[in-house]
Amino acid sequence: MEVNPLNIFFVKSDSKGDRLLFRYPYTIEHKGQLSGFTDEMLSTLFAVKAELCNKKFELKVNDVRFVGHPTLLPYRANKDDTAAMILINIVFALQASASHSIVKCYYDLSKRLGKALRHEEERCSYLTEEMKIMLAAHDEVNERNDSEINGDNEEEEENLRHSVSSTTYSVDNGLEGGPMSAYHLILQRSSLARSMKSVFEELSSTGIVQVRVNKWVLLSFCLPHKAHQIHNRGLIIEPETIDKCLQKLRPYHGMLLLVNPNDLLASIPLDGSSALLRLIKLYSPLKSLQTLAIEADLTFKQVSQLTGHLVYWAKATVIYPLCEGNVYVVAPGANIHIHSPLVDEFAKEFPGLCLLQMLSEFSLPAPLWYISRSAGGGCGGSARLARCVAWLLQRRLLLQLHTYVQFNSPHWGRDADGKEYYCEKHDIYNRSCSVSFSSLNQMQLNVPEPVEPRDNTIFPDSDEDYPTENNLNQTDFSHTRPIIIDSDRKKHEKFHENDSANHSFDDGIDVVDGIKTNGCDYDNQIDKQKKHGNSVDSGISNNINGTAGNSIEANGNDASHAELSNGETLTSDDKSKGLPSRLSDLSLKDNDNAANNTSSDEDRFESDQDVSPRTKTNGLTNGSEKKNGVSLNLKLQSEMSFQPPTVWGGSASCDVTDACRAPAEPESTESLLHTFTAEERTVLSHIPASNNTDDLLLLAQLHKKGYFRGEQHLEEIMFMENVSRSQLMQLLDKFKDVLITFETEDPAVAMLYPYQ
Amino acid sequence: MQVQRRSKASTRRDFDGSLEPNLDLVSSKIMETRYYEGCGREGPIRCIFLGEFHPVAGPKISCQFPEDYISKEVFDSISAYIIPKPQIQKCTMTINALGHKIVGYPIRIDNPRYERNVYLFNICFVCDSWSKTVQYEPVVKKLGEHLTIMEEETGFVSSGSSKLPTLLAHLLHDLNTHRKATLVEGDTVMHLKVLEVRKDPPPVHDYDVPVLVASVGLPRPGRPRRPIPPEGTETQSQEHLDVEDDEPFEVDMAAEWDLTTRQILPYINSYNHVSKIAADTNVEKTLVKSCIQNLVYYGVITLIPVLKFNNMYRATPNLSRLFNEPELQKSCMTFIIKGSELKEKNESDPS
Repeated sequence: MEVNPLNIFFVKSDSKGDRLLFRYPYTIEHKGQLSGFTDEMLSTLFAVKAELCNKKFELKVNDVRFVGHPTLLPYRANKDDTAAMILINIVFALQASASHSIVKCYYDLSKRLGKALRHEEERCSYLTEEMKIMLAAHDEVNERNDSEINGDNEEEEENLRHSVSSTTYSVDNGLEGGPMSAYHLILQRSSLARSMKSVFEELSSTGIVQVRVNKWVLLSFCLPHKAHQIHNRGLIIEPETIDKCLQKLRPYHGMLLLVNPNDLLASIPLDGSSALLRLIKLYSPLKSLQTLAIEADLTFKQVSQLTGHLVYWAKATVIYPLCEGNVYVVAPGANIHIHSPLVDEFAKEFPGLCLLQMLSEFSLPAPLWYISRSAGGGCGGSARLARCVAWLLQRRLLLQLHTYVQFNSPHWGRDADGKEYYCEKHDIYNRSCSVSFSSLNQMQLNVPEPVEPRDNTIFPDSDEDYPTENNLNQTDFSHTRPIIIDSDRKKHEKFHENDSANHSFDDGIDVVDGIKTNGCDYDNQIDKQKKHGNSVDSGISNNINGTAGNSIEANGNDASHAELSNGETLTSDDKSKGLPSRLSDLSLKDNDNAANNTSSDEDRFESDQDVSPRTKTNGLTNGSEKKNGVSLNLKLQSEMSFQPPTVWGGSASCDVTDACRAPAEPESTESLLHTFTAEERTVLSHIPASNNTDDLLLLAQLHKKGYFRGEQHLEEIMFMENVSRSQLMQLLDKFKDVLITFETEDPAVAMLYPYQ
Repeated sequence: MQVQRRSKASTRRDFDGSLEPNLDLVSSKIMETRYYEGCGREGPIRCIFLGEFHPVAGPKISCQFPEDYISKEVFDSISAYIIPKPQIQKCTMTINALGHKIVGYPIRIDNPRYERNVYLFNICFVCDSWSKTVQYEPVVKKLGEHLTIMEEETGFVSSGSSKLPTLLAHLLHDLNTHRKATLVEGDTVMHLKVLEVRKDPPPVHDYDVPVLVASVGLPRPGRPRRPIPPEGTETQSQEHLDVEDDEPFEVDMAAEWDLTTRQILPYINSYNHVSKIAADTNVEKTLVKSCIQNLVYYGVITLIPVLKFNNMYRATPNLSRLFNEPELQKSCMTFIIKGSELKEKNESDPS
């Protein structure tokens, strides 16, 4: 593996020349890629010129990369000579393919080893002593080898002293009880060599180095790339990732320790930060960092830095605090092999539970409350479930999904030429599948909170309040319909069908001229819309005069519409023109109080009507008189305030602004609404929930602050805006026609997952 | 190489975690911090020099282009890695020191005609210390070996030929701008090309489904057809030939692909899995796999799981890109309506 070091070298260079004093491992079977290098070669390469000292040393030869920090330090070779300097270089050999961040960590380690040695040299001439031991051992072994070979061959002796073959030879002979490798001898005699050996071994095993140089200087080092593999094999986390994650860390995030808090407390050295100790004592995966900060009396910055520290040392990871509403799914790339050691570990930790069974609960995204209810009996209470989930999160077997919201502007899905794309097959598929799939989704995905009041027809009262507008809603919806993004959408569709079916029933009672057929035939509707979509759109869009528009439709439709003509002209006109009401009209009014069909306003009108003719088209081409009923109904409702068509804009705006201004702060309402484009306002005006100023205000506020760009999840919105989840869920439901939701992971948390 | 890289002048936005409002800020930040050590980007060759062991003066730069890019002081402190001890030779050595990253391939020629019976030289590429230099290693090696032959035949290097400076200048210019160079010197013709080193492709399994990311013979979905530069004009003038990882290759069908690739390309339809392709084309499975792996390496295709009706799909955070990028939306639309509508469009609008 490229994270592991290939070798560690210790080279000195002073007035007596350069020498490779120690290397580990030194046996031939560990050489591998380094087999081409003799000790002499290496020592000349690592004994750098003075100009390169105290800087990063990086040399790549073929497929091996050497990295080190040459340290120049004063050296008391003789008692009288005080000015002598010695260069020491502790070099790590790595695979050349090791990433830059790994190389950087090794460089850092080399630098710190150098510093520790310099300190010890100044304090008690530790280096001098150790080097003496090493040199003596080298000489001793050379002498012994010389005598064994009887010194008959000068050249060979020369070779043996420096080259690989000497090691080979020595080791081979060492086994026979003959001369030993100098390095072996050094390892027995020198504590520095033993320190280096343990550095190498700890790097190769855990990535966490805890070495006391000369039993005095504690050197703690962590190679995060390696350390995180203690808990998760194959998970490579670079320090850069942790930095990025820290930048994204918010107060609502939480921390999940990967080790037992008590063990962690015990492992912290005596001079450890008291803040860290407090933090760990108060730790709970249920607490957010903000809570931890308050409880531990720390600033958020401190807490997040401490968290980053713990993440770096592979003691913790970042999560969203565990709570019932959290939705989890099996993480991509999770080890779900039936023979994985995790299965046994899990069984040991949670007797009576099976890891795979537990994971299967999350094979579809599921909120915790759902699991605790469905599998609660087996799990043994929510506390155990929480522990269980924490365990799964520690091993990165689960991934949390968050809901993101995207404001769906009416532009979306339309090409530059105003053409709409949709997929009929998809549509049919939805219809056939929506029953099972959406009900499933509704159960599992989307209802962590109280059921939204207007989600279905269990609240007939509220429906009675808006009998017509619900239908409008539906009409409008069919416009945005082709943009099908996720299962959530499907869910809504289904409910709309229910809705409309229900209302059509209501209409049957209420509607004035009630020849009514089933109004929820989507395919039919869509088909019609498709046929008419372009022609009517283009024909009407800049035709403000309702009669003209209507005549086109009358031509296009069956004769029954002709009967409606005069009386209905006004109504349908009202409907299409009068309805872009509130929001769009606010802007109109803003622009020009006497907003009329004047040419100056034409542009704006056009954009407004981008949608409304469609609504009208839908209503009329529905192939049933139901829509006419609707429009009549609407007429009845809005007739009172209605003025002659020529001044519709002004009048409507009066009507609307009155309604909107009712609350105390008309200015802010208005200015907030300006965050929507004219078209968006038109669409919004068709949504019944827009009648509720508070809802609309909240929507506008959140939209203005950019929360509906699919970049911030609900929890973040809740935190930032201090709104409750139920408030948000209700808002989402009320404005579901313009708000698309999708569930995905929090990037800050997901960064620490292996699949990233 | 049949695969051509599209050059792209504008830097592409980095979408990792960038929020819409401060996109400009982010991208400008990226611009500033683009080149740092470990950024993993390729950089241009800043200088090429020939270092040799002079019988009297020792290691020295005998020729470099541009002049004095590597000062005498810098060279002296790193000369141990340019002209290393005689044991080390014929290996690519990269030393990163003093703000330069120097790739060399030390060569030693034993011949009694030299003053010391041996001639040591090394042709080195100098890059910025932040840049990635793996891609130059084969070039340096090939160049070194060719120069060895020329030296052995005519003493081209040791004689201090006056042609050398122009040769280096040509080399530097051609490698930086065209990423390839052809040197003709006497009878020796040298073709050098900088090949991009990418990550090793993942292993290909029987059940993987290859999907074309680049378009074969067609412009990328949602993108205009690439303007074909008239012959002879060189559009790539920038020095920084960055590898834009998110920019897929454009595959030229007319180019001469190897036979296996030609055979299996029509069967890569985002639906067939590897073993089906192998069965349909009657090609050995391992051959198909290695061919597909090769295509994955060059970013022509990517591997997805088999499309099944009981597959579950889930949104990724990148989904919000779809809302924010009209370009992507358009591309998505074009891709979805691929068949029928495109035809309609073409029929109604012949232009």
